Amino acid sequence: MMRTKQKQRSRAPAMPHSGTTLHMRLIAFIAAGAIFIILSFSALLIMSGITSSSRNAVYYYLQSELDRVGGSMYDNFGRLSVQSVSLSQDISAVSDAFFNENKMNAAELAANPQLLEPLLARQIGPLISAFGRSTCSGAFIVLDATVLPDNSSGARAGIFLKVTRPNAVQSVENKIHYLRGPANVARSNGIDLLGQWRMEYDVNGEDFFSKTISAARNNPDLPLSRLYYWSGRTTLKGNSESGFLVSVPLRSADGTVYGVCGVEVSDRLFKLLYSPSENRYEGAFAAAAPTADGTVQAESGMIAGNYYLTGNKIEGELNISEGNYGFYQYRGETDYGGLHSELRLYPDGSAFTREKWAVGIMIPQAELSSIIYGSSASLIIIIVTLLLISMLISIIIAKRYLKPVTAAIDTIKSKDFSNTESSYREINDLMSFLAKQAQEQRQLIEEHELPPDLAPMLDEFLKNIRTLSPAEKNVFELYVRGYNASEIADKLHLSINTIKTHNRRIFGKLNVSSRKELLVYIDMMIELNLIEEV
Amino acid sequence: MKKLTSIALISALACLLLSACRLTPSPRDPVTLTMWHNYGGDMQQTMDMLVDKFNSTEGKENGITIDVREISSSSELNNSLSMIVNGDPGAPDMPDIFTGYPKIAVQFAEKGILCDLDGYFSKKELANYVDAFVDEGRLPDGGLYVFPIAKSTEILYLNRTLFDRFAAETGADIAEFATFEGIARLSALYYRWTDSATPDIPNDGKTFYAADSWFNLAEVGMAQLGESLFATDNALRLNSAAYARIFSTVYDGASSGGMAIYNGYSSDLSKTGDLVCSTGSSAGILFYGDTVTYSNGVVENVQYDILPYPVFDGGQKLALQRGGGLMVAKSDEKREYAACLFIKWLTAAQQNMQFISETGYLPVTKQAFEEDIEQHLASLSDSRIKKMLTAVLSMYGSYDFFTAPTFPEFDSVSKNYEKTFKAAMLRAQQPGAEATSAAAMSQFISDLNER
Repeated sequence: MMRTKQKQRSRAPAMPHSGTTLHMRLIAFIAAGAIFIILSFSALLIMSGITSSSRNAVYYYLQSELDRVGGSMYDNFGRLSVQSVSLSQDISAVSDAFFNENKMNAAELAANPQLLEPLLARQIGPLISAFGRSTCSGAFIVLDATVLPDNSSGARAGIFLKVTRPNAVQSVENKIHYLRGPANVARSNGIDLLGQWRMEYDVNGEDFFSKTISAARNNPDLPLSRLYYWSGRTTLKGNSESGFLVSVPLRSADGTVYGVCGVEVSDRLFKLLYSPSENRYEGAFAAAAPTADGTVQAESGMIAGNYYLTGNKIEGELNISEGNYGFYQYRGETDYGGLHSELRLYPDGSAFTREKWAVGIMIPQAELSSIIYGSSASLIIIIVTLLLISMLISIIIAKRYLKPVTAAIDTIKSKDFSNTESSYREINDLMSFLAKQAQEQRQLIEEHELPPDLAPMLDEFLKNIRTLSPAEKNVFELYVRGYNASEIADKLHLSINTIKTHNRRIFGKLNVSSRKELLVYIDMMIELNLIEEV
Repeated sequence: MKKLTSIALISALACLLLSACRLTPSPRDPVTLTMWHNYGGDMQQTMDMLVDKFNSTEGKENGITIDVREISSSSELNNSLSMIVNGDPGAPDMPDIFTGYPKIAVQFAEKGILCDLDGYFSKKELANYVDAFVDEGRLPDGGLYVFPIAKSTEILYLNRTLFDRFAAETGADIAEFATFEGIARLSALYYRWTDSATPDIPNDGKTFYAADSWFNLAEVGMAQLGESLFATDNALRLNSAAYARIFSTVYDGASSGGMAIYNGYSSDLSKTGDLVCSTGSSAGILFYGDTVTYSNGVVENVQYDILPYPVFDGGQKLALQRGGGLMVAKSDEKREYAACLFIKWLTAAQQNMQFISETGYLPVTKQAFEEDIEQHLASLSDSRIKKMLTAVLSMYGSYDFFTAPTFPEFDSVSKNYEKTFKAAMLRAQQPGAEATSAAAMSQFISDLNER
């Protein structure tokens, strides 16, 4: 009966054990060490600033370019403003002489269209001289009068001269072309007409004309130096090239405002003068534009950069917001990032002091983000890769490390200790111990002629006796001496229920199912003279 | 078999070594080349975009940046280049790449400061270009110094609106535009007709025709009549019956008041209605608008027709092949190589078609000229360019083309001729001018020889 039970117990399938395997613990332990080292190294890189080097480089580049371009623009635009005022004075002097010769005043000009061409013919000299004084692409004069009968049509007489090489400092000649004006004046001065030539301007909707005239008429006491106006990007009707125009009112000796004059900075000239100096970030470009209420009026501005990458203009407005790492973000149809500063175009007391402009160095946001986060992304990829490699290594090491242990377990399970040599000394010791025990068991069996299957069970029973508590051991010893339960209760002055409780614990610890089975083992102990051992 | 493999391996190794020996730019060893070109006005944006595109793509990959320093008319560029050639004080630095005509190239080549492009283009690469266009860039020493980028010819621009008005009242026949003699007759008739419009003001008739280059007219006219304007010693050959005919034709038109003698482009006069027709470069199409602005400010919408280049009566259908090309300054191998790489890219079919579609020039690669242009015509948005290209392509089917000779004095000779001829024609328009064209021609030749 007992043998049957023992057999059943050994043949039962292995029950799942709770807890983490040694293999997993070992992987976790090695991986934790590797992860700690990698993350510590990464933290060191981040703290030392290596990951932010690209970000800093692009920031310093933008800042230095902004300083250079902004400074250059401030100087050049300032000079152009002053020289335009000077041009206005020259033209007014010539015009006043003309009015005197013709015994008229400036206010009568509109009523005398036959005088427009001769008056304009005299302005060629002052206009040409404007090119010698400033780096500009065009010089113009627009009179508030037309040769056409209808003065309200928007047509206005004037001259617009253009140079083909505005920045040609080395050139021996800088040929002047004729964009607007009476053809006869051009021919008599040997000036070729441009393909987009028209005789008169159409000033409908043209700020450079209407705003300047209006400001001058509303502020008769302001000097010309407080009345010049910078228009945003302007494309004269019928023209293909755009530009900024700085216009100054023409005021006669009697104070009549009869037109405007000024100079042009074409988009071509703007590109030549203000393109970012280094080709480090190919999408980078310089921009100048009016600003209002936190927006850049980009469509009124001009850009200088690689037109193939950026186009030659930006449509619509750009909303300014502060971005990360000190950069500004400019959100519009396309988003840009970069730096900007105010471009001061007007002096204190100007009629246009409320008009604000900005100069900026910008890069398409996608490119800027790629520059800023590119190195961080690389670092993240490297870290993740290292972590994956360390996990793999942990698994391999754990597997290799545990191989002798699992082999030892298999050996123990097979109870064949004939070939137990391992690379671990501890395992070798354990195997030796187990081999010795097995040997002793075999001797025991041989000495007492026990059936081979019973020996391990008895051996287990003997071991388990050591796990009994002192109270349980007292009860057990009384069973060994042949007492029954009620006798043990009397003997130990305990209730029968207490004895039953002890019994349950003793049975459990000794792995027996009944008092009868317990007594079988006790009988065997007595028979084998093993009582003394416990 | 083994021997063949060895030869192949050795050849490959030799090629590698040879290519490694050529000094070429790279992103680590970049080069910036300066460029001057004459594609201004409406053409500038297209050229700007192409240069930027090169700098961002092919140039970036190869460490080449093109820096356009000068954009001007071809005559202005020629003046600056002439100063460089002559070493004049104040002359600008020579650019690495520049546009120009063979007549300037020959002066540079003579001084040994121009790169022979044959060293950088394989025969296979050159075979991609229209042979005649490539040959035009070869100078007498056989070297290729001017690489074709875009070509043009001369055509007749006709303000059809003004002509129809004139023809309706006078019965002028449009067929007269086929010959220069016919144009001279129409010029005289037009002057008389416009003069008669204001009987109270005598001699206020209007001009009808002008040529952008009277020298070109003489040069092509002589070729049409089977002769050459130049003798074998490169001197002008003006004492011939053929030239006398050319001179008298223009003289008759000018002295009648119907031909304009003007120191600018004919398109300037056309814009103000001071001409009805003119001959000039087909690439000048963009300078002719679609309006005429009169001196009183009135603007009239007009229509221009493009007609084939006129032929002297009985002469061969022949027109001038025009259009400069790109030249490369002689420099170190790296710069020359970089310049040629840019030229190859710029003149490749795709870029070439993009350039000509917005400029009115003819493409130079065989593929673009013989195949792409047909479908390209259908997609053109600018009706002026479309009209012009259609006319020019038709001329290429029925005309022979004449290329101006290249010798060092050509530029100065042509300029001198132009100036003296205009003076002679202006004299013909003055009261008390020589009574006959023969006398005027004699005086003209005398003046020319004195200069």
